[in-house]
Amino acid sequence: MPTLILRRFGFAAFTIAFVSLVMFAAVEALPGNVCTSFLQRFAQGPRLERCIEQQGLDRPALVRYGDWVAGAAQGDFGYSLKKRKPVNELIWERFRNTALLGGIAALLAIPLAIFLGIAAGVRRDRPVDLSLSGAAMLAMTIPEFVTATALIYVFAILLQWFPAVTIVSPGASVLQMLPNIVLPVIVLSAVLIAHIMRMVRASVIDVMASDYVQMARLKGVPERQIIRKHVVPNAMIPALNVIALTIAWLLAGVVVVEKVFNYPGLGTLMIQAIYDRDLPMVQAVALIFSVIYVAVNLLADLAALVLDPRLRRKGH
Amino acid sequence: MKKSLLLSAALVMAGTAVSAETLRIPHELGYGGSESIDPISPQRFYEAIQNVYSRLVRQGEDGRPSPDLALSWEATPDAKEWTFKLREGVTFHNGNAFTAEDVAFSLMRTQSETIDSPTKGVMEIIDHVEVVDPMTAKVVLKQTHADFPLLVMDYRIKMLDAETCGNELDALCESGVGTGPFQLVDYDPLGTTTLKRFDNYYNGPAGTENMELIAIADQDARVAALQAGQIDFIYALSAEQTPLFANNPNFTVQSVPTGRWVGLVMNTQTAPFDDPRVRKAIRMTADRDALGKLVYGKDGFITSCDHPVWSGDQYRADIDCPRDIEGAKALLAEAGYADGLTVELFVSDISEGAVKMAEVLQNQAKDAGITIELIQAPSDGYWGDVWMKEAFFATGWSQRPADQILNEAYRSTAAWNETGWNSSEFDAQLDAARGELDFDARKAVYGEMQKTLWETGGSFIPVHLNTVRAFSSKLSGIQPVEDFSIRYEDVVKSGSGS
Amino acid sequence: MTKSLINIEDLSVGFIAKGGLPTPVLRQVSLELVAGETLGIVGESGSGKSTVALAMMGYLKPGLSLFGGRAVFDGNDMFALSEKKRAKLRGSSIALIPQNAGQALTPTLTIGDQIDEALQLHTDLSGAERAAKVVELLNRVRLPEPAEIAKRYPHELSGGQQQRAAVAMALAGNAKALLLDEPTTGLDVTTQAHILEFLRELAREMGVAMVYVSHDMGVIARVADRVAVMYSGEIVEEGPTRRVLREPRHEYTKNLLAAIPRLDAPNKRPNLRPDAQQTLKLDDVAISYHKPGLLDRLLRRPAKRPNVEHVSLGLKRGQTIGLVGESGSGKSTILRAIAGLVEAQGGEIALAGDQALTAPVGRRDRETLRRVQMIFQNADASLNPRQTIGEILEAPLRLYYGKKGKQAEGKAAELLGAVRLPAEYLRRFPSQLSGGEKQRVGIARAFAANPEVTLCDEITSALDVSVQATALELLSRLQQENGSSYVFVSHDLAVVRAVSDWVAVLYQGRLCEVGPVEKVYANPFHPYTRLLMGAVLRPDPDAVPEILNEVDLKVQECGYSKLWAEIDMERTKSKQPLQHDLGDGHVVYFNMSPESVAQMRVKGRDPAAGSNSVPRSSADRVLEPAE
Repeated sequence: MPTLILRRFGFAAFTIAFVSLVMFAAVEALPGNVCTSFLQRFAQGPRLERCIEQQGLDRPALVRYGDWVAGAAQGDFGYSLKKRKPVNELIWERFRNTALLGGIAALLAIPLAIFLGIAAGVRRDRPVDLSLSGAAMLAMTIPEFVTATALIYVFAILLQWFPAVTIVSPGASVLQMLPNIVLPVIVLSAVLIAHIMRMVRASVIDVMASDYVQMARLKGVPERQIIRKHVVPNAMIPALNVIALTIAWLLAGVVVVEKVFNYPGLGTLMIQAIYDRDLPMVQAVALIFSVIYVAVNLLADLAALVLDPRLRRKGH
Repeated sequence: MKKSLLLSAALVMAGTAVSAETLRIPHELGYGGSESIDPISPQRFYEAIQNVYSRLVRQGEDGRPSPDLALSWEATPDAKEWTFKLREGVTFHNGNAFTAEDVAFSLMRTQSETIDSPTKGVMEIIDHVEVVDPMTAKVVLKQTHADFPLLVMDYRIKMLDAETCGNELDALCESGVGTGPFQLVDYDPLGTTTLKRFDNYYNGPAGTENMELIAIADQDARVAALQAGQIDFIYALSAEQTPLFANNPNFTVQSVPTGRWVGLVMNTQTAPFDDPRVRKAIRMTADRDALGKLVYGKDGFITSCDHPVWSGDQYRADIDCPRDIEGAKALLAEAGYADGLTVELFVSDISEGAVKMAEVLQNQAKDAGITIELIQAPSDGYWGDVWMKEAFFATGWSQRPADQILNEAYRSTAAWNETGWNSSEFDAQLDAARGELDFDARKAVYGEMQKTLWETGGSFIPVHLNTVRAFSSKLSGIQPVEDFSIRYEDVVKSGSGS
Repeated sequence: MTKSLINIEDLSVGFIAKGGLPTPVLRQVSLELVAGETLGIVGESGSGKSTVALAMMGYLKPGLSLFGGRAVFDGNDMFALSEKKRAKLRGSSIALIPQNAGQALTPTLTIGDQIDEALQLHTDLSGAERAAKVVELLNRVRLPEPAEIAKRYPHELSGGQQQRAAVAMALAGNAKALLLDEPTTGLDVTTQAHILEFLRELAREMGVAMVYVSHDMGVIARVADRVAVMYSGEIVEEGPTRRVLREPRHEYTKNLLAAIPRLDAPNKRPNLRPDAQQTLKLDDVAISYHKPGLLDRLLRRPAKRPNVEHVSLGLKRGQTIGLVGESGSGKSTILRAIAGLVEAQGGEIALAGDQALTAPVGRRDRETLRRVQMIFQNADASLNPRQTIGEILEAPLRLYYGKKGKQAEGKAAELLGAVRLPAEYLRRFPSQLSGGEKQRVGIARAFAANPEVTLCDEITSALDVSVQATALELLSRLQQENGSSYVFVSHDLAVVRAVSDWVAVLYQGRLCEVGPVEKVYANPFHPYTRLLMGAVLRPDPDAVPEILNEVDLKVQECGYSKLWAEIDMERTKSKQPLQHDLGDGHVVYFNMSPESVAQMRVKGRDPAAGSNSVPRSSADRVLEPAE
């Protein structure tokens, strides 16, 4: 089993390296260079020269890539054009904010979704199941920005219970951030819960029909215990991968939600950087997103190893 | 969940109680937190600077320089030396007196290489400043400039306290100490910057007690914040966003002319545009009013006759430029294009409405037998690959005073001479205007230049754009002037608790 | 008269079909069982035997409902009880040993945990006591190293071990009655024999009543005191096993018994024609699953021994060769190598005319493809459920003969006729056919190509006995008509004897014995062949399977591997086993001198004698090499 874990880590590392190469190459492939894209009309004369020097654009691409990767590994992502500061000074607060938002949404959504999924699966086709599945369908089909806007309208504009947009600085304390998180978390959780719940429900239904659940019944095991000991652990195994994928979706969803609520996270930073053509920043944030994605999938793989004893011996 | 509900409810309540006397303005966090409180910094925090500092002169009702910290000024006949008489009894927020030394300091530091301020180019015309006496400052220019007060009317040329800034000419001064109607309480460009009424403001205390400058980078978020009552004011509303506030009694909407323009420019050195008749013909086919309505909406524009001087500028000339198809055809025939003319026009959505404008002109020009082929270029790299490289292309400019824009875009040696305008006469007129001390005479010269551009120029500038703003109906005292001219100290907010 | 432990009275069970029609699954079934007795319930698929057994626990599969009657266990009317009370009885007084233990054990719990769960529910033992009891139970079912096994997960045990673990779980509650639902299906012949022996002894030791549900008469003959024969939801015959098997009264029972292929019945096939042409040849074929990866090549790891090695076989036109062996013998692998579905690493496989049969099958040219066809075990899985029978049959016609439209349709109808199915089936979908009919379509499809060699992969294993008989008869007829050759793979030795001309016995990927079927079955030489034959269960209540005695039962889990290892030691050292030619094409691969081979005997059974010798009790069966 240690080899299995090492393998997973190795593969994850390889993926990240590959992604970084692709991203760097993509930025290189854009017309012009980082400086002309940013300066646009002002890309001439001493300003342009200064920019090129600062970004090190006079060196060959491969050297720059190497430098960037080496720097990134230590947390140094280069120099932001628009903000005229090193990128990582700007990133880490935003990262904390996004982590706060995404983390709370995930922490809320996952247990709730699992619970609801089990409830729906165990009582299949009964009122509980039908209403939960219906609600999930709604949450999945309505786009997040629609939900967000509706929530803002009701809770911030009409009722004025929560702020419509975040107007605290990115470096504000967690306590100050909290009231701003409520509505965005609701939006994110709704979609997360819907996806995960449906998968768990399907998995539970599948497992409930299996031979070993029937056997447990015939062994005289009470229904509650069957669900707890026999159904849930087995139902969770296929659901894990979906949970990982949904969390990865969270990264994309976070960007939309942050923008609508003006929440100072990585998402808004990314959008602003793209708008400003601040390519070093774009690169850095994109890389961070991929690392998060890969890490989440890795976690899911490891969790599967823990949950499913069949995976522990290779090819058994 | 309940706890944070109560918490946020409490916060909102608290906020509301304060808001009766607090004016909340958003800003777009253009520099991501690197905003500087130094007015000449390349990353100046405009909204704070506007209220914390004052200038020597400010815009009057007619757009002309009117006294602020300088009560009066006069120039030598060669318009090379300007003497400013300062207002007495003005103090900075920290109690220091405002003197001519501060003027000298504030003006000379704009030329620092280290600071590299965007005002450097314009302010380089100053040779040195003499402190005649504590209330008199004499500015000596390197060359004649009859309109010098206009230059120091620039919203960035604010007066700083030399002592507080340590008399450092080559460093940014982040003291935030000025003579403006509000003083800094808490400087937090990323979040909320708070200002408090400066009771000793020479022009009387401001209308509201506090002011909050709130960072909201995204326009849609600003709209939501205004709707939710988190802020009181929003600028630069788009056409789609305006209806949200237009018929709502809780909000007031103002549409205000500005000097911003979007245009289509022809290179006067390249055929067929090297023939002024061709240029005029193309420009004559436009129905500017219709074009403006189509591209910018009924209240979104003020027409212009192919010169960049806007309606709020003191030197604006009154020119008539109706649509004249027959005239256009005649000109074309004269130029040898009796059977019509086909040209290529490069556009991209680099400015609001640029592509649409091109399409409308294309449509209107057809009537005179002119076929304009539109070539859409990607906006990425437009400025490097298309602008000033092709013969006929779209462009966009922000607001500038007449002298500045005419020099920047039409002087034969200007870096941004888009039309390749090369007229020694024009250059001479530019210099003459600068040397003319008499306002009316000066105005006449500028008027001439504008007419020249209408008659023979290569720029198609059909309109100047309006800006739309919305604010809570509790606010009063916001004049329908362009953003840089709003006097926030005159704004009063009626408080009724929510 | 002893009080009955289980009493099924006029039980009727069924489901409501679409349209509200009540469809019966059990029709007024009545059965009785006293303590200590073993009842066998025999029937084919759809007879309702599993439903009856489960009903004894008061359990109906989801969708079924009680139409009438009672099921009484130990004085309790099971269907009248509350669910709670029923749950109390289940697992404790009456326990189930499931058909497929691998699927019936929860994959995420250890064996020990699952047995412990049963103990928790049905006994009052403390934690430590339970742990001890778990080990004791695992010991009782004769699993080696019970403490170790308790810590393992179900997938880490072999099929036989899983079955025993399921038995241990069932015994946790001191059951009065055990229900066994096809407990040995899917297990190897020898493993099956052992498990049944063990269960018999268990029943004797513990005085437990047992209900055996099976479709295999041989199993029933061995274990049951009384037998009930079921057909279509009804009990058609019931009585003491000996009587029912020797003197069946009901037509159905008679037909059923007649249809079962007998191991001892001589093959009634036409004589082998020595001048027939060779149609298929395997020469020293080796097949390996393990493909050396990059790492292995870099580290220069020595290649593992191939899974199948040194297989040389020949097949003549119009004849059938049967491949027999247990799981892991490689018989299916060889078949798939001939078909081109796996690659042979060594040796040659060739058709008549030296046409090499290579893998992958996708690279073979059309003509070669046509000459080799395959019929699969599970007709359900091998017919495309979205195509009509006509489309299924027309596909090979179009592919190999370019037939289209009316022509193809006509030929397809012909093919259906050849397998005795009506032409109107062309328009039906597979889901509308029965299992046997589907298999016949599979056969027809293979013959559409008019192949030279037809590969049959356990084609009758999934069929009921009666249907099986029809299918085999069909195959024989087609062979006579078309002169095609078969390679017939099966684990059922009796079936192989009935259809084959030649037989090859495989063990762990190597040939043990090859020869004309009569010779091999009548006089098996190779110890493994004898072992295999001996373990087969005959539907004869007096027949006793020959298995190793108590001492060697411990090592029999993988099938006498210790014994085998001793004999095999010579072979593993040398590259090729010694070949002993016993004449008439009968070849034995064995690493002992021919004399020793000739002298090898099973005590009490003379290999030179015929098969009609009376076997003695199993206690003194020991396989002994001569000195």
